[in-house]
Amino acid sequence: MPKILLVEDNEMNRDMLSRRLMRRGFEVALALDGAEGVALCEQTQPDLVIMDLGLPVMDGWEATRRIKAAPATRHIPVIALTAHAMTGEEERAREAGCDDFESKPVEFERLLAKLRALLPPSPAPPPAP
Amino acid sequence: MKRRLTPGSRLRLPTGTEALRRVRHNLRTPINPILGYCELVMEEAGEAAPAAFRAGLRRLHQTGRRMLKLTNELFSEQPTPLHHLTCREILLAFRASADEVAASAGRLERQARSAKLPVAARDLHRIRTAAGQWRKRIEELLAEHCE
Repeated sequence: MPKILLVEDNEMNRDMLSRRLMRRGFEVALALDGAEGVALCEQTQPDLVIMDLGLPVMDGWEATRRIKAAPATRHIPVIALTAHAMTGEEERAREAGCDDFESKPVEFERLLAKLRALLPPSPAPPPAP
Repeated sequence: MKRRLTPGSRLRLPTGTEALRRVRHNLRTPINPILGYCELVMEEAGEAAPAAFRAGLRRLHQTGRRMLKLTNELFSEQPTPLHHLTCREILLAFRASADEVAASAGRLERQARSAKLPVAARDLHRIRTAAGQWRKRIEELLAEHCE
């Protein structure tokens, strides 16, 4: 079962997105800010990180830079998630080291396609119940 | 609202990328749970839910999409019809969508409780909360940036 680390400070977005991912067969770990995201990424070694960019304590750009700078975590793909959705946001996220970018509100099927493209090959997750 | 909108006042969005990014982020953020919870309730309730409930969810989702369209048009870097409206007209358009989402979610929440779908009822309540946040944020934005 692929393990996703979701770093998101908004409680409703965290609850909604984690439940949708779990329904699709993913194991989901949660972090509430960028610093916690960096620490959990190192400790739990997820298969992929979904990183909100506008985060307290440490923002998502800095958290991604640290994940990509650390030898233990630099291989882990990061998908940026943001409600800013303005020209230049994607470039800014990629400069920080994000492997892909998704704007909020999330188009869930498109996000799933991006997850599948970045996750290491493994048995397909079970279908939704 | 803290300040009354004067007739004919126009929205002057903050200049500078960072300020504009912040207000756009603040308005788009509540739309994510509105659409996401709506899709989640559709997935979880599935075919077992009454047809009227499913139809209500589809209408709720469409209204949520309208909120997103309004938000995108207001912050578009290209001219849109919304840019020609007065602040009062913008406020009315945004309030109408937010109130429609809140009312629809409230009706569906009651239906979900009657149908013994407590998780769906809780999720629909959250949609109402997010619609209220969105309404409050557009009111604050207009109060601050209308001249």
